[in-house]
Amino acid sequence: MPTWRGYSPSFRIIDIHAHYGQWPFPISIQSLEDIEELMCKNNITYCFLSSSLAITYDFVMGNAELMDAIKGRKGFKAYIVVNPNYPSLSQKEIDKYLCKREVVGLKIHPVYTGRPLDDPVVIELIKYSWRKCPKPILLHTWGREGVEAAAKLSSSLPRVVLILGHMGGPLHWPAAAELAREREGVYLEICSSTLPPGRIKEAVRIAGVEKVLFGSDLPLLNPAFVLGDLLSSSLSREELERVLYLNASSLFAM
Amino acid sequence: MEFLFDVNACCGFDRLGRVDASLEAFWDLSKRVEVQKACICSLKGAFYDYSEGNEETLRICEGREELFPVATLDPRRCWQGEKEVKRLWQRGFRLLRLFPELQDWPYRYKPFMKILTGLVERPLLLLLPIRDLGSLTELSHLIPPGAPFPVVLLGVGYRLLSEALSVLAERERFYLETSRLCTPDAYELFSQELGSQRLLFGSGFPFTNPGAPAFALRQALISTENKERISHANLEGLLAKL
Repeated sequence: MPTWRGYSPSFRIIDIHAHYGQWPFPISIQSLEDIEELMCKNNITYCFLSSSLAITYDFVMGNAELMDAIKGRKGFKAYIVVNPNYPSLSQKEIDKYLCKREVVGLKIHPVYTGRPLDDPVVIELIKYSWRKCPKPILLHTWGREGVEAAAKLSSSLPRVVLILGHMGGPLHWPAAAELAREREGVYLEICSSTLPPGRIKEAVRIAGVEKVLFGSDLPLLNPAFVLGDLLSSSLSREELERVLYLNASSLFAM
Repeated sequence: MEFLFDVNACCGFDRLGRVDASLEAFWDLSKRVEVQKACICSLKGAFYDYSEGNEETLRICEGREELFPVATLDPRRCWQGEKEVKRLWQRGFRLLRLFPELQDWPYRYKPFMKILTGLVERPLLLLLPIRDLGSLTELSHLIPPGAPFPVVLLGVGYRLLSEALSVLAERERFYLETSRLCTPDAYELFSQELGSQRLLFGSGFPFTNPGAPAFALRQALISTENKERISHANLEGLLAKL
């Protein structure tokens, strides 16, 4: 259990951005058991996973594999990955899974699909998903283009809950934070492999603490790496509890 | 862990206005995450003029036992690397940090190679960031296996980890700094494959938050002895030999 600078095991954590499956890097964390061990070590109660197989290769196969893996497993929830290059198949995946209790939302990764977030097909898919079952959409949001596309997307779909994964990355998080402040449905998720100092405190100041959510990008990133950034960010105990647990608990109706 | 000794910190002014890069901000953040000693380099030398930057670094460190001055050179301007390295040595520097990531020069670049030649005569501890796939492999070809100076590789994250493990397995004087060592089992894997004596704690300040690598090291499933090595003992050992 982590105890560090005021952070104690009494903090519960929901990790809203994690993955199941492999990445092309030397990382031995693969099975749900491996992930469970990391969750236990870092006091993570719930871990929301999307399939790396679905993101990097075959989304239908990856979604099925993940749903099968988490069946009956406490502590795990799933995002369904869609691929806008296959709109009909993506709709079928939404129909098949999105309303299930163990599914928390939709995941869209514009880099791997080559379709920006403001692509008309992406917008239509999200509209379809929201009509079908209004659950949050986790977006990979990186760089200026990523934040600008997310801004266009959110103006097309003002009622949809959009979570900006990585909150724009190490350089463009201020624009993401401004977007979250301006748009009711836009939230920020904090993980990144480069974590500039002062980022989280300032994002909380700009967007409001209720708009900031903890995610780790596990197993690409170590939850402790992202937690270290958060815990040294000078947030109050109450703010930390909101970012680590309460905001996600409320947003995802846990 | 007793304390952290940071091998990779800079301070100065952030022209982009994104972070407070001052020495005060660095120490404020460092104390929160138990960094007690640091090797530090002025950003003035990276962004503006290396001679002025190096003098600023010496001023910052003067009379402060917890700070170790790190010099820099800018190969875009300095074509006589051997002479410059000698000058730095005479000025009392024992560490040299280069900034190809900010100054946009490649490793296969004659002025940089002149600096490497200078380091053979005056073996400063060389701090080098690694950015792209293949650049570390290239570096290992440019620095001969028998080179007398240690090289600390900065900013290696998950994309570059495989390459780092491959290269470091063959190069005993190459070390890895931890500011972007972010995968869940990186410390365990590295300690198992190459030994914890090749890892040095680094914060990457002001570009990255010291809290992230500090907490990741604290949480790593390696022995207390290994954590002590990584957190400060390895760097102390290297500095003692310079």
